[in-house]
Amino acid sequence: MGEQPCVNSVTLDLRGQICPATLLKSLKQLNEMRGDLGSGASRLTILTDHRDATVTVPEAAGNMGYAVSVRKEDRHYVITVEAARR
Amino acid sequence: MDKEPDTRNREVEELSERCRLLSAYIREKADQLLVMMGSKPLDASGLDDRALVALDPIGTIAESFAQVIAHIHDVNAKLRSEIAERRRTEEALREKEGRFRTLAEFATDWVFWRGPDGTLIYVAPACEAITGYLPGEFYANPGLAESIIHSEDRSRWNVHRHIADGEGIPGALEFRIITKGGETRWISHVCRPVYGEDGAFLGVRGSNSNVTERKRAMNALQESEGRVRDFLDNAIDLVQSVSPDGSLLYVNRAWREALGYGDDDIARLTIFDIVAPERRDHCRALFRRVLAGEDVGRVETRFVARDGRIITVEGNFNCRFEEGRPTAARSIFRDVTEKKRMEEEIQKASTLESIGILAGGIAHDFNNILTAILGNISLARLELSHGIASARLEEAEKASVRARSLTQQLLTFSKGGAPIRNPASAEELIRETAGFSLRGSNVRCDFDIPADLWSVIVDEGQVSQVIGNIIINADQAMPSGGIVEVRAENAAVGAGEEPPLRAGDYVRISIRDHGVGIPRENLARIFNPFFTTREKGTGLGLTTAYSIIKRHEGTIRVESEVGAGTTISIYLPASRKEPLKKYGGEGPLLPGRGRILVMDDEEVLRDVALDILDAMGYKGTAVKDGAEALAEYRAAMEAGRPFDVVIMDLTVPGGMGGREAVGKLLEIDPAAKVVVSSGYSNDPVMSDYRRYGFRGVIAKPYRIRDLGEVLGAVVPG
Repeated sequence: MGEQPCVNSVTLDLRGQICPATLLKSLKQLNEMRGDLGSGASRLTILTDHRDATVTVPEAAGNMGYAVSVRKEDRHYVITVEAARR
Repeated sequence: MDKEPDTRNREVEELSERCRLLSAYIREKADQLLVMMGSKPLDASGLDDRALVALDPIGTIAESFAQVIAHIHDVNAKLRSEIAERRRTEEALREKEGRFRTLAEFATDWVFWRGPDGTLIYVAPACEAITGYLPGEFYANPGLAESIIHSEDRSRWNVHRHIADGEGIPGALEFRIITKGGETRWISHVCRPVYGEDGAFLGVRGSNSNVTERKRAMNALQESEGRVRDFLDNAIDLVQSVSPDGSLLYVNRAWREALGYGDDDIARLTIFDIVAPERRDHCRALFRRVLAGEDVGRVETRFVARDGRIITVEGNFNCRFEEGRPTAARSIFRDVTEKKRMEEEIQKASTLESIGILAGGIAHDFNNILTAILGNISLARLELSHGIASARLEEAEKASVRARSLTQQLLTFSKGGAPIRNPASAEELIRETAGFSLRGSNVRCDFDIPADLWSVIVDEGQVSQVIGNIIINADQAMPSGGIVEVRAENAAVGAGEEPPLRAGDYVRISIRDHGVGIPRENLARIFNPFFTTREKGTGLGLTTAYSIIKRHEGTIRVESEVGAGTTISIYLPASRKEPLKKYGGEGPLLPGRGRILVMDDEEVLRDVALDILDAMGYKGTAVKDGAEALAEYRAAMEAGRPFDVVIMDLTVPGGMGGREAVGKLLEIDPAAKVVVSSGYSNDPVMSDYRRYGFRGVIAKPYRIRDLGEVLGAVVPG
């Protein structure tokens, strides 16, 4: 995932949320950011400490046409969603 | 009024129930959706309703689904356009392939593509028309193409293929194949290595075309050219083709052989070098006219052979034009050197013939005059038998005899008649003629003549011509003098010993000189008419000699060596009987008794004859033609005083001659003795007198002695 300097980076910290809420809140955010995210103007970074979320979120986001990557930090995971490369 | 607490409780319970139902439904559906998305359900999470609503699972998920569907639509659209694009590409590809296929399938050449590993990647359908085998057979058996190559051409193919497989570009190759139907065809083959866009070696692409027809046409053409060349080469005539600048483009074999020029000469020389110098200007002018397109008709010119000989040729001369410009002047010439020579000789001959006729006419008249002269001299000698006058008369007689011999030669030459052959002394003939021929010359004659030499049966006049001519030739061969050896000997010839002589007795006379000799190439030609190496020579001497000897049934031979001399030998038929002596004075006159009738149209001759007869003791009567002779003879017969002998002139101009009269005479008196006399020794009647009814013959002019002999033979007693 290359760094795009003009990309608006949005971070959603969902650590401490229950698992289903992580997914739902992530989805909601994705829905809200639809336009920018799709055009590549924004990028969404989600922080979660649920392992399941690192599967469900990328899958959903992928089906929605986004490019997703997951990274493990010390005690949490970082999921990055951005527009898919054409 | 308050509602009853039961009713309120019931309502609350109903509401709560509804709430619980709805809430449960919402949670259940929310969970359903979450599970579908792979998440854990909510129910274990202890979320209260308010928090649940705030979370809005169904709405969020629904919206996300909308995105998913939108995304799917996107992807679909992309796929669809990708498919369409691919379809278009495929279409374009198919169309291109279609084009190439058309090119390849309908090629008339048998085109193929052999991969780097030797397998057959492609073969054009044209292979069937050319080889008889289908493409399928080639694909199935990659070795098929090579196996149908003609065995004789196989090795050349192998060399070629080796180069091609090594990525080389071999040259074009022609070879034969045997088609499926067993036919032999000629193939013209080219091939080259092919490479991909990345430079990889993709194999060899080859093209084979059927050139059988072309090959046949070429062979036919070569054969035809060969035949034309052969035809021209075998022509007897000289064929040449000359370029406008005069150089020789082509000459046939006859040309080379006739002129003797080799290849170097032909490459170097021009037509003007070949033409004889005196004809060069004429040739140049002619050449210019021909090149200008003019028709010059028959051409006659002279060529110089390599060895310097000149040959005369006659032929035509025409020019070939290409786009209006002359490219070659072609000629066919015939060597007419011989023909021209013949024409000249015929011309000479006809001139000579005219002269001959003239001479013959003169000689005939001259002969008659000589008869009178000779006759009178003979008579005069009777009167004067001794003294100077007698000696002079003897000389006069000899001179007249010589004159007679000359006229004989002229007559022989002009008419060339059959010899009247009588036995004669060879020795006398030789000595007399030699003496006469060498008179005044610095050449001497040496005789070697045996005493027992047989007599020859000859026409003295003609044979003395022969000997005379040979001795004159010998004389001229030794301009600074010398000796001519004349040798005579008896020769009895057996059958086949000396061809062409028949078996019999002959006298061989050899005349040998030590002069310049005759070159070998001329030896065969010395008897040819008009062949002479002397400027003033007629070229007829030996020709006449040959024909005379031949008519005597003898033969004549020549041996010669250049620088050493020439020997000419003649064989004359001989007889072992004694010849009649010619000279020795008149001798005792043969007396005669009897009545003689003389017929001759010339008065002088009649007078002389009567005188001679009178001197001899005969009683002579003279008449002037056959009619008178008949009348006279008949009258004498009837009167009881017949004539003993009749002497008749052979021909009487304007009247009946002896030839006609003798027949009539014999009708009157079959026992008549008739003698024919003539100046023409060559008339067949003279040589075959018996057949015509004559008993004897006498040649004019005759001396007393001659007449006496004949009469003595004919008159009995």
